[in-house]
Amino acid sequence: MRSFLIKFFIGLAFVFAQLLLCKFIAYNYFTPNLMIVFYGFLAYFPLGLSNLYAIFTVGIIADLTNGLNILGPSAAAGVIVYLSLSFVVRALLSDHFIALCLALMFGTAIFNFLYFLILGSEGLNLFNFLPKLTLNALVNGVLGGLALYFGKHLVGKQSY
Amino acid sequence: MSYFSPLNFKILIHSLFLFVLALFLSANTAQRPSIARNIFVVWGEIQAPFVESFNFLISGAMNSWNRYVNLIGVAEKARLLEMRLAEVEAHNLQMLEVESENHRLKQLLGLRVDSNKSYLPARVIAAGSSIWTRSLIISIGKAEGVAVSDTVISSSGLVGQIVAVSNSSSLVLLITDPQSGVDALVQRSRARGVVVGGEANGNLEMLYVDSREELSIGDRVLTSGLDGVFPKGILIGQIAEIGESSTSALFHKVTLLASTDFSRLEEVLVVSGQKEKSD
Repeated sequence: MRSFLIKFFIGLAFVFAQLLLCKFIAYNYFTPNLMIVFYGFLAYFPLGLSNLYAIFTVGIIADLTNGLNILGPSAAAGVIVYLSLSFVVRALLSDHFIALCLALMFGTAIFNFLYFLILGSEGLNLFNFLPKLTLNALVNGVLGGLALYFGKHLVGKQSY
Repeated sequence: MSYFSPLNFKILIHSLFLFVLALFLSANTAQRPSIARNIFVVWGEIQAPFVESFNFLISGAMNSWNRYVNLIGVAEKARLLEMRLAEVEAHNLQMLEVESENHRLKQLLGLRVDSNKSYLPARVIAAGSSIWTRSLIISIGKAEGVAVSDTVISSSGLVGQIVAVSNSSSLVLLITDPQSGVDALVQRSRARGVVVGGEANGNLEMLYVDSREELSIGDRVLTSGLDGVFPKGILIGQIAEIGESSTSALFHKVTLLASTDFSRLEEVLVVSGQKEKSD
């Protein structure tokens, strides 16, 4: 429980940071999504259920503050990012910057795709968005990967 | 550590459960928006003090820096502003005269003057961070008299409408959000249409404008007041591009440039219709 609460409050700090970032820099396809970075950041902690449940609850709160009325895509994408970082990255490319970037790009793509699936029925055309969503995933991947890679070297190797 | 250890297996099972739960929540809340809005009422109360404090600190630091930088050339700026003020005052006098005449004429015609709405100033405390939704959180809520569906404006035009209200903060759906819709008319030709958020960031599109209507680049587009949500006559933006609709030749495809710069919004006004509703 204590472990969950620590991660939950770290997650909340990321949510607030994202809200404030977007107040001063209007969100667009070049703005890094700090929530995706938070999901990656949790991979530094030892594998555990508290990480997953922190991702889920913070994801729901992020969706709540994001704007409208759909709760869940951030949480679902968070689970995917965490799994890909925890299993694929750890197992195959444990200490590789490129692997972090790829996992975060993948997570962003899943996140955007989940939202599209839900909003798609409103008449949105995926092909109109595709170039910008790819750009968004690249930005999140590279910036998030850089943050995590340097963070890891500053904090030290805890779980990799 | 083995790749298929009991811990890994347990995590996989829980992940699957949480993933399915998140998808189920998404599907459910997309169909019933009231669920998320009710949760926002509770969450709004918790987050407002934290976000406001952070916001106060960051804005304070930025303002101090800007003030320091702006000191350079401030005398010249003050002189220009004084000249501009004199011009505006003269113009204002004329406008007051026109307003008074307009009021008298409306009374003569028996039209109802909508003077019983209240205008509540608010600060923007946070902005939504999603590609798909465009929203703001403002610093006033139920305690100040804000209600769902109230209109939000800035000094340059329409901003959006309130979609959820907690006691001390409110969530504003911007007109640039793809789910927003505003009944609008072109000021010059009176052509009507519906303004929705565009697919590109910050763009607006005006749909269902009859292709026989004559439009020009730069025409101003205002709220028509016919949707029962937004008051009549608020500036939305200017026509930036006119094309043919891809779905029907019956309509123009009009792209608008919003009059409000949403990335620089600091203060807004909430047009509250509560007094009117309670009458």
